[in-house]
Amino acid sequence: MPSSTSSSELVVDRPARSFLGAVCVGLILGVAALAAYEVFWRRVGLRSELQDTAELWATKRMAADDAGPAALAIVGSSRFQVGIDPEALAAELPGAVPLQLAISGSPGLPILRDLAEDPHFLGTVLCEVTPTSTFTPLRITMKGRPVEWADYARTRPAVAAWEGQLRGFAQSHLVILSSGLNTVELIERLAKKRGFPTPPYATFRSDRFRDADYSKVDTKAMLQHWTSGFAKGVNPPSAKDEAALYSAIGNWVRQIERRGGTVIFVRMISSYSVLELEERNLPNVRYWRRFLEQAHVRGIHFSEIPGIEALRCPEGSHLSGDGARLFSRALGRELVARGWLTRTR
Amino acid sequence: MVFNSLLFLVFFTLVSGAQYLPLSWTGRKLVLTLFSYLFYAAWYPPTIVILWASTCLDWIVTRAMVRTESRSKRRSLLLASLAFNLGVLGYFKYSGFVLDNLSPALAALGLHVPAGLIPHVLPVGISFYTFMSLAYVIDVYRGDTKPVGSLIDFALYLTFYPHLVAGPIVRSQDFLPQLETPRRATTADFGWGLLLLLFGLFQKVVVADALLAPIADRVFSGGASGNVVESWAGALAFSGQIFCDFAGYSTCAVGAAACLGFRLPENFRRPYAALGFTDFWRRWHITLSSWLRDYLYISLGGNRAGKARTLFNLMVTMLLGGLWHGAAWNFVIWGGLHGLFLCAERELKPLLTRLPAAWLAAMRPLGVAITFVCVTFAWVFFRARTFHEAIGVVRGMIGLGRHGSTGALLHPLQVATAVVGVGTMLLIHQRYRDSSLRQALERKPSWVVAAAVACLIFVTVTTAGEDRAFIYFQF
Repeated sequence: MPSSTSSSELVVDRPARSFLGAVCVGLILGVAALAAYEVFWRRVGLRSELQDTAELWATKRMAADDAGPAALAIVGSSRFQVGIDPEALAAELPGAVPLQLAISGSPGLPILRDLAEDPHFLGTVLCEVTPTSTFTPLRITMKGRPVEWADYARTRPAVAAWEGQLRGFAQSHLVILSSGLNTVELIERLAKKRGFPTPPYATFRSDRFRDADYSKVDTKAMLQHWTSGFAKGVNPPSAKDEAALYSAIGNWVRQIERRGGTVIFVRMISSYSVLELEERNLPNVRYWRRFLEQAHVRGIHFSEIPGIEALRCPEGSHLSGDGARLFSRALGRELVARGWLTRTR
Repeated sequence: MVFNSLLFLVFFTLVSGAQYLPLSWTGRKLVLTLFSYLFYAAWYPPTIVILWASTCLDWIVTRAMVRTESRSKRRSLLLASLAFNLGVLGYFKYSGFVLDNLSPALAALGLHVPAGLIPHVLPVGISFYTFMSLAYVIDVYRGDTKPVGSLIDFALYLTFYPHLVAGPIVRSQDFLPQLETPRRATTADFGWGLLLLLFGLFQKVVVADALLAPIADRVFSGGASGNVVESWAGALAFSGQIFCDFAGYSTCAVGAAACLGFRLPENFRRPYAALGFTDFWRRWHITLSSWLRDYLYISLGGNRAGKARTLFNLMVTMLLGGLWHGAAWNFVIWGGLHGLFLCAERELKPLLTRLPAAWLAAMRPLGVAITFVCVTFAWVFFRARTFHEAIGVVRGMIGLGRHGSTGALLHPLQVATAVVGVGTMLLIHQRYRDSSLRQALERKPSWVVAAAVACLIFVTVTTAGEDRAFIYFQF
């Protein structure tokens, strides 16, 4: 153990000279440099945008508790975040409070569990099913960002919502706070010779919906990207893992139903080679049908929704903003038609 | 509320302005205390009751101690304070850990622990303010310090917002005298404080969170899937991350205090330039290690009761020091490793002192390197969430993980970032081993300081990503 350091001699001495002048000049120079940086990126064509953060997600998650039986939690991955527009869905389901809780790059099951285990949640869940991320052993899906965000929502500091509002305001007005312009990521991007960031093709709204516009995007290249990813194949779950998965999901659904809520699974739309590969890897008849039967849950496949027969995902995996509005309204109408949801809830 | 938040900017402006209110010194101390409670309540307001209880009890206990001549009554008062403070700390921090470990045995006896028995909230900063309060009570008991007459002064000592949630663990002798005379930050204090705040935020936001944390996160969540290079890069990244995270917080705390005209103790002195583990603990989290020395190691007998007892005392101190950081076996292992390092150093030191001075001087860089490598190895257990995860990374570090080229777990650029980033940090620590930031800055012309401030602001603002809490908040 240290033996020669008394506490008092540790107290930091004041400097012999004042740094206030230098700090003030530095502050002015720093702010001027930031302003110039802001102008530069605006001229490049980037725009300020709200960031999708744990704090914003937690705000929606808490709103799902506060909305009581009217809450309609939208749970899934980027396919739901881009594919279900809460405003369009609300237009078909007056009285419902749709809350976008989908998290990009993550399956919805950890959030379904979180809602099931929360006695304060009394509403309905729309849970996305994407074969490759849903029909996977729970030990693989029940970790990562959804688990972290759900934990954060439960334990976040009392003033987190205020901090979120301040940050949201700053992000909405300053381009330099965009995630693509984070200095470390930007240096990494340039080192990998990927060039300057380009404006995102999806506008992120404060209700967490991503409004995608593919008009200036090479959708063929994106389709190729998804196709090569799905072409690597998947490891279907073992019979034991599959049984455990369906049993767990069934239990979560029952927990929500016991409080008066409902859970509806939605096999989300995909198109072109992505759909073909999903069918090849995890066939609909084998997995989706069996899932509904064995977990004893309600589900709707996108092919069963009237009015969207001609709808396609431009890059195979995600809908455009217009497609999302069409899909959301058609889904809302079909859920009412089936009697699973009512217009007055 | 954390220092790296916009809300803190608002709070800082208000609290800095409040020191210029036309109030008496007592009035301004009261305002500062209320602001500090507000700062604390920003996490989870109900836990403020525990802080109040601890404050009131220890203030009353120490006042009663000096009023009595009876040795046994003084001892009873000390025990009452220890029982309350350690009981509250134990309940909130360790009850879950203890019951988790006992539950198999209890279940075998047919006993089940009710879920409601385990607290769901760990009051932020409880380990820090409990240690401060205990130090004060023990000092009064020992007669090393006089009890403070004013409850406001004592409350401000415990709750002064810069150190409240993550230290430094300030001794009453260092802080209470500063409350005796009215103080406001001078322009020099304010400039110095702002400089420290900016530097601390740069360490936290840029180096710890943006540069190094993603690398450490990736390797530790990947377990044994890293090869030797990736596993060491992950461990190195965490060595840099934990230093910049915690030293960054401490620097902000000292800076925030300076902006109010107060002085706090230094918590880090270039620890990665340490030559040996005793030296490391003189440089790392100094206010905790000196607390453990003064109130635990020496109380156990220190080095006064023979060699075996000294080694035992060292091990106990470091094991409990590990447990102070968190209720998990990984922290105990981390503390145990440091205990073993200190014991080994104690045994080796007599042999080393027999070597010629020229040899010792030549071996010095090797000694610094060995110290750093051992400290980095121990950090693996500190960082890993489970023992299994730690073993996964250790296996990777000794070549029993995945074989093959780098790229599967970490991009080569990330490996380079960890090596270059932490390597630069080591060089800086070595270069400024025996001086301080203040001394280094005092020698620089003003235009260099202004340019550095501009750069710090620019990089910090453009790097700030999603919030990461300061690692030491969980303790």
